[in-house]
Amino acid sequence: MSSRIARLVFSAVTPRAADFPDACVSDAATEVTPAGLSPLGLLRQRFLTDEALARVLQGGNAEALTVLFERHASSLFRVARRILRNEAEAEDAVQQIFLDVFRSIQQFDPEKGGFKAWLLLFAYQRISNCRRSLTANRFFDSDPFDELLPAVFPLTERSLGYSLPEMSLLVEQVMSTLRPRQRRTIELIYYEGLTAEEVSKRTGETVRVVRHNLYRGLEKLRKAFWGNVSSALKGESR
Amino acid sequence: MVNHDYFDFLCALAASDELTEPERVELHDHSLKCVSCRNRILEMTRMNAYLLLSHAFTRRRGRLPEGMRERFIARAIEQGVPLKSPATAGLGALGLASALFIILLVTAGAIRSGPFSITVADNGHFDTGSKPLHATKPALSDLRQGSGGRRSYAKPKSVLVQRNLDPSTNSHGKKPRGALPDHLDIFQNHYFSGGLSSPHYTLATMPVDVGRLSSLPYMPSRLRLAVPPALIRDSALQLLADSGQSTPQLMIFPSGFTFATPPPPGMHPALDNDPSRMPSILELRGTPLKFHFVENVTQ
Repeated sequence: MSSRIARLVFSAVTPRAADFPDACVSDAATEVTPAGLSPLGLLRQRFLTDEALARVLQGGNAEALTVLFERHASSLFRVARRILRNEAEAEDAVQQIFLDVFRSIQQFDPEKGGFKAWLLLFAYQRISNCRRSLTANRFFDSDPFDELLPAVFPLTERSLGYSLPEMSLLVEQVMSTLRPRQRRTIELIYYEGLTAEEVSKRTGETVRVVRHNLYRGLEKLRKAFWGNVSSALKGESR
Repeated sequence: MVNHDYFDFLCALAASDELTEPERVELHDHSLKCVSCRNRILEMTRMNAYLLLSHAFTRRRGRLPEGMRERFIARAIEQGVPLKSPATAGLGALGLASALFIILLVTAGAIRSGPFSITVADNGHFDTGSKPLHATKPALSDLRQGSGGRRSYAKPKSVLVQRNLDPSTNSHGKKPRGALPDHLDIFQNHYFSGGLSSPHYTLATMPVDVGRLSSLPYMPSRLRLAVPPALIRDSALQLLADSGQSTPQLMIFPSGFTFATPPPPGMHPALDNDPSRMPSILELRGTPLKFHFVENVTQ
């Protein structure tokens, strides 16, 4: 008597999936349809990628802006707080940036890069402008180096010399080569938005030591980066 | 006379806004006549942008000040952006979880309330006709004739929704009764990739934790199984052989799955199999894959 298993004839039930067993996909995730205002529509928007949401926004559905705000406002808020040194001003700047995004969303071209990189560059420039505006209104005591900043702007991936993903990778690699104290100081000042005095209180080091660690760390980063982009910089400075 | 290294020090701190007012004035006066320092300040300003942007680019979401989202929506509405009011706009985490729970509840209810999926085993495709399923258990002799031109249908034996695996075979273009909502379909379709059918049992699969997966903030547009299809097939055969005439046990793989980035615009996702373009964005190694065996019932 033959075993039952011998009679089984197996066949793949999904010919297409079998052809591409390791790349099973669905277009539904990136399909852009007006989601409307129904709860299900809002739910679906939450599962769209940034780029798909940007296309929805370009198509005139403003609700996508709320989802993008929820995803990225905290990143922008940290950058704004670091540059503007004031939470209220940072919040105001971030809100205005997203309103500007709504009005300028047609400038976003997914062929040229991801939405997050576009948004960050868009935002950084506006936050810097905001800082200048506050300086002009004497919110800050003075900023005598302001006259040098136009050489950096407009801020694009090209003017920075790297795409944001490349830059992130490079920064991470170079940061890993710093001494722990230098690295920690840079992280606390740049990533957590502390001042040298606040770092001093947290670490127990003197302000002078904190500033020295910051200088040494930044100097190493500068040397690591400018070895690669010095030619581009010189070209722009002429 | 002050050493120029001192001004290098000031240049580094100027970009990070850590100068005292006397230092700022001192550096400003110096930089008016020193090209090197002006360039250094420019470099440091770029470095400032590198550090802040790269961190913002890689860092995941953090907390916002309380009420900032609502204030933003109110301001946007005030400026003419057609958003819903802050009280009702969007879905909070609780709303999202509730909506997901309701969807799963409705789906589970639909599964329990009646059969809705039909599997055609003899042509190798799942068919999703609107015909109701007559879940009459056949005699063994009938079962053994299964592949002889007779249509056999699968009766779900567990919490499982079977539906059309190949969209091209669904002539009506409608979703079958009892089908999962769209965002869950995606997962299910992916996990059917290792599906096998026989006259008696159909091997199907479903993520064990759909709720957790679909509550991810970003719907992954690509998903790759970490379990080789050949291993699924071999294991299924072994399980069926071991089970004899009884229902095979569940087949569980400890390996997880991988979400990858979307394909380039214009390219069908299935054709984009270039590993260099598919960096993994999320790996759920600890989440097992559970495969169900669904008994076929001959009508």
